[in-house]
Amino acid sequence: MPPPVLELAELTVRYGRFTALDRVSASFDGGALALLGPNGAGKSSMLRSILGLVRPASGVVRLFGEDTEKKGALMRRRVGYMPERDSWVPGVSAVRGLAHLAEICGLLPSDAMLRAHDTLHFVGLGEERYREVSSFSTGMRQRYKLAAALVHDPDLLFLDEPTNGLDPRGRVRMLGLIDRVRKEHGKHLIIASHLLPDVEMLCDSVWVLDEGVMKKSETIANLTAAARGGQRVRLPRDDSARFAEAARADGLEALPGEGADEWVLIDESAAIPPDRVFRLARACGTRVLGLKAAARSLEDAFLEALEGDAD
Amino acid sequence: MAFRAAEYEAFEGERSRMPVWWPVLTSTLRRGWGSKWVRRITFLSMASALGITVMIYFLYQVVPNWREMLVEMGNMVLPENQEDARIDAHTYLGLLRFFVFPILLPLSLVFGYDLISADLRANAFESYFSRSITPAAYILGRTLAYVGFMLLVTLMPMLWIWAYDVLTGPDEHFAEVASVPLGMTAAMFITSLALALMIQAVTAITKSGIWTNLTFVAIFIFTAPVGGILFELSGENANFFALSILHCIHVFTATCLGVSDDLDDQYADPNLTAGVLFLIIFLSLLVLLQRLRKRSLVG
Repeated sequence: MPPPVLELAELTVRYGRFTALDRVSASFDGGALALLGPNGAGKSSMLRSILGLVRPASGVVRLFGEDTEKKGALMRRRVGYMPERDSWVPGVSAVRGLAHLAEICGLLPSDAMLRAHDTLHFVGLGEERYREVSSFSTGMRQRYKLAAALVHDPDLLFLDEPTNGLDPRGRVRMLGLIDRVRKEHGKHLIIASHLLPDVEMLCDSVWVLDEGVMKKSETIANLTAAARGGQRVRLPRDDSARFAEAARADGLEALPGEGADEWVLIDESAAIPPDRVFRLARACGTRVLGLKAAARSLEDAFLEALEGDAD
Repeated sequence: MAFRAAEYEAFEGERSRMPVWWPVLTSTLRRGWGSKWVRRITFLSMASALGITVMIYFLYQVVPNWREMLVEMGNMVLPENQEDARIDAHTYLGLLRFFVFPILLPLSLVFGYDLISADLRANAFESYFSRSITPAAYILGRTLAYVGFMLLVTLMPMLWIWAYDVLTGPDEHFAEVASVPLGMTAAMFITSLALALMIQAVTAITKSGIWTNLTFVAIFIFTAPVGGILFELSGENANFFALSILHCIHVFTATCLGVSDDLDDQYADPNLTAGVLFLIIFLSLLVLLQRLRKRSLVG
């Protein structure tokens, strides 16, 4: 069985007296993982400590089963990083700078240059590759950073706020590129983002961080679906209102669903078994046209993870 | 060669066996050469060396015995000190001023500014250190490139002039200048290393290209008069001149050329000046290593 792609054991990061990460332990087996958390939660500190940009105060980081403290430089060949802030090699063209970064990762100069061209084409900067990055627009710089993360063909990509500052069209384009990288080229992704729709689109699992502490480590499917045991019910339109009244009389919370014929039933104290819904329908003299576990939005789940600990 | 459409694909090629500081060195050289001021200063230095050799050539054409004439003229002007008129290691020590003051210092400032402030502005460190390079390897690559450029504008022209001088001079002239290649190489290497590390260490503290250059200028401009003032105040203790890095470079080079015994009492002790240069190297490395430990900014 292959080792986890990333493993953190009691990872602590401090900046002076401020503790950015407090004994975080978690494991990532592969796929696409999102790091969620409010500003200052410790997402970037986690990424930076994994990459060796910040020295942890204590704890162990293992990439592909290897301790980064001992083999960090070697393991970083298998890792690509797209930082949140703009970052490039100044004074040279985009393609030359990218080739230089690939050479640092151990590619031969001729291979590095070839890959720099290919990667810039892949992210849609083929026409601009002889320009200096300082002359690029925000969207182009974001795509350049993705190319820089990809140029040495890493197995794992760290993307820190990849859609920051992009207009809606640029955002869709960037998400499409990241999705392609994962699906067509089989890269593992770890994405730090505030934008939950982006995360929902790209990732399978999340780590929720707050004030340097890991609040939740869960798959998105588990996190958003049926966590409160709610049920989404579809009924004939004419019976819909009557059914909702009966549900409320039975002690359930009935919230409007996506259409006039749909209701989301929630019981704050327990999960709602399907036969209870059917019984209610029978009692109202109607029939159930559709029934499925009520999924929450990721935003609900995220807020709940943060609030849960506060309680 | 068949047409190959550009597309992202998995890399299955061979990995380079070059040390990881090598691409940093080559990239730094390329970036340095990309600066028009670096190119101008380098050309100025090379052109100066070429000009001097052309001058020697024409002197030979017009006055074939110009070396003897030079000694005789020296005897007339400085009868008690005729050695000063010879072309020997002292001449190259004098020539050093010509290459160090107007060429080496501006180059180190221009190169340092271009290299360091641009890296800071472009947040290049994040790109570098998230890859398989250690900060120490990065510093090594960059410092070697820096030293290489400085040797190119100081040592190379000097050696060019020396080679021409030896080839065109009488046989016995070689003995007078035999110490120049090795001595000058050692002196210029240590000087360039000290300057290269110092500018990086200063940047690691100031975190700004402009402040680095201002600090550098202040160090070079103000330490010389301060040394002179302290020399007068202390009853002519020449060791205070060691406060000036330029003075230290001069005396250290004289030591390397084996002519430090000829320096008068207006010069600091050669051991002290060598100590100052090595102290600069040591302290700069200490600052850089301390920054490396934090891995926040390596200057």
